[in-house]
Amino acid sequence: MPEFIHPSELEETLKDVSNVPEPDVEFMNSLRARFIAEGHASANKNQETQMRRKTFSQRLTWALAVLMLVTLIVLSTQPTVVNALKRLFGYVPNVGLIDQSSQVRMLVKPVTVTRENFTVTVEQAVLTHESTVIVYSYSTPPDFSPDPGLIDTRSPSVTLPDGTRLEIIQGQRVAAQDCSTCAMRYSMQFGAIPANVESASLQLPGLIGTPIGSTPQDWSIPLKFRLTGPSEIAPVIEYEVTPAPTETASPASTEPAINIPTQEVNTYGVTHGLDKVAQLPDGYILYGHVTWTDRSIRPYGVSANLSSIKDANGVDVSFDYAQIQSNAKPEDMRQDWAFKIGKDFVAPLKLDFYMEASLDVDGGSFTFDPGPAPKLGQKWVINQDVLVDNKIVHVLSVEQAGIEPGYFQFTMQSDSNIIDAFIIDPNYPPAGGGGGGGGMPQIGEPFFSGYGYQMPLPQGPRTMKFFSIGVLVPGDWALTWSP
Amino acid sequence: MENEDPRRTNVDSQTVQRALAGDQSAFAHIYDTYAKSIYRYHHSRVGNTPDAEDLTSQTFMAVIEALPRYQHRNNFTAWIFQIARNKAMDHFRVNHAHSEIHESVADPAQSDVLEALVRDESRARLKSLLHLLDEDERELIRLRYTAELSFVEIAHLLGRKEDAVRKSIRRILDRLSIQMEAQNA
Repeated sequence: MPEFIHPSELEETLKDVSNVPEPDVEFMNSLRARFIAEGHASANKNQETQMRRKTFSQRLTWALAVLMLVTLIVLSTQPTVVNALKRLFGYVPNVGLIDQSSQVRMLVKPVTVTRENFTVTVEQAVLTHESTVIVYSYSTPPDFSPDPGLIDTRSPSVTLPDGTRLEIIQGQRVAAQDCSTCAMRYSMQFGAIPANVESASLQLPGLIGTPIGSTPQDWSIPLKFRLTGPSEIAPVIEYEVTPAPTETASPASTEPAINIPTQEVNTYGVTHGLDKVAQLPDGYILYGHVTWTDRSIRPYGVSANLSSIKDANGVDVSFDYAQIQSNAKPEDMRQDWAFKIGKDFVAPLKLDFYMEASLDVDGGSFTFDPGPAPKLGQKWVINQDVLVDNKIVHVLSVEQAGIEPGYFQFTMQSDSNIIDAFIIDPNYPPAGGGGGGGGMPQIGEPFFSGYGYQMPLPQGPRTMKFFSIGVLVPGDWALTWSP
Repeated sequence: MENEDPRRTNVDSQTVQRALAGDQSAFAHIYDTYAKSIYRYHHSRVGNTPDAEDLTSQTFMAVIEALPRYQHRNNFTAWIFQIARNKAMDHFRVNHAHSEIHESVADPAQSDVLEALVRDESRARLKSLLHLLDEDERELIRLRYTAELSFVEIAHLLGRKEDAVRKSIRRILDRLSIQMEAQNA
């Protein structure tokens, strides 16, 4: 009588048969290091490329389009002037903007704790009446090469002398290029520590980002606080911009000490302005915002893109992205921006922005048939005009692009202000997709939109539907600023 | 095996965003979550360590290149395994080889000789039956029992419904079970 094999038993045998030898630890660790290093380098390269794209000067097509629109805007814009300057804020490196309307305290000195050749250093602590920000870094032994495992993401906390525990509010990794021994550096925000409390301890369950158990656990680092000196916080000038009376508003006639034009146009109710400038020893950080009132725009759907900064002599001024400090919620219809610049320029500076809004659209579709066996790199001509948001989008062609089969990149063009599109195939869930962009958007120039199918690739004609579009918001969004 | 591997649910959109921002810990997280599964998958297909290592390396390098195009739909596992599958297919296209499920290394610590003999015989029979499966069926077995993907993950990867994947695997198991029974008889 043969023995009946139960499915569970069969599954066990299947797992056994399907089993393979364990991978070589040295290989896995080596690949891990390579993946992390190359991934990190690739991400940085992508970000640099993105930044370079944004520094390209505007081309004639875009300039002409803006020029035509400026005339309209001048008629509908209320000129603005700087109404007041305040100095409530200060700036602390790695921490950012802080409210110094009440006393600010810092660490008496950095604190370093070493256990089993792992070192944690609390570099900074900034205590205000609103919050406590602690910046710490850690270093690992040179031969630290842990086995892969569950990465430690447990949150730190702060314990006060009376046992009160402050949980983390938010945290982020911050740059550590200036610290050759730092493996990681984090900035963690906790609740405010009462002004009469002069010490606390930072509790770290483990070292974030390392496999749990591969490093010493349960760190307790004592901290002592003191009042800050006046030179320890960089000054921040806050600009409060209010509309000026229309009849007196003219940039040529008012000439405020700091000229910050803020434009407001009827289209989408977009307003753009400079909020604060932090004055650092080596340069400035400019903080600004864009707001809108049109609720048809998606949450976080308007972005102010800095294309170039030129000084009074027309020389390009390089800029870098700085940490944005914003508590804007989706319903606030606001986006903030921050850029860092050096000091080597002739004032005033002109910051050229273009404004892009993302709008949901319902409909507009086209079809194409890639055939039974599309090849990587294969292209198809589509040449279909699609009505999207009452504007024509010319869908020119599609290519199976990229390095994996299933990803299709569509080339489109519109003579309207549509500069980007997000399309979907409602019949098949995507594996990926997204608009393509490709540098400074120009009205009338081709743009790209991708869609990645899950494999196996569906057969037959595909119907692609427009899901959302990106449009250039009419207006001259340039700002001028002098230190 | 019925549920998602908890390690895999941790690669969320924030992790991807952090990776895109250059956060090394995010890349470490992605690697630690998937490296072993992907290696096992490749080894199952190519049957030797050097090629499995090479394909695993290629997969992760391709992940770096493709990551900016990834859009989160709670299917990172399907996305990364799609890359792995494509790498494996490229390998076979180039080498004109056929994939198969390879036998694992025998356990030297096996103490019960009789039990070992029975088990080895059963394994050999099952292995021979696996060769009779078509490639789609073998891929299902590979994804389920070697890469240890959940039904949901396999469904995402293959663009099928979870229930359909579950039924397909069940049908394969039933058929294998009957065939094993028949051979025993």
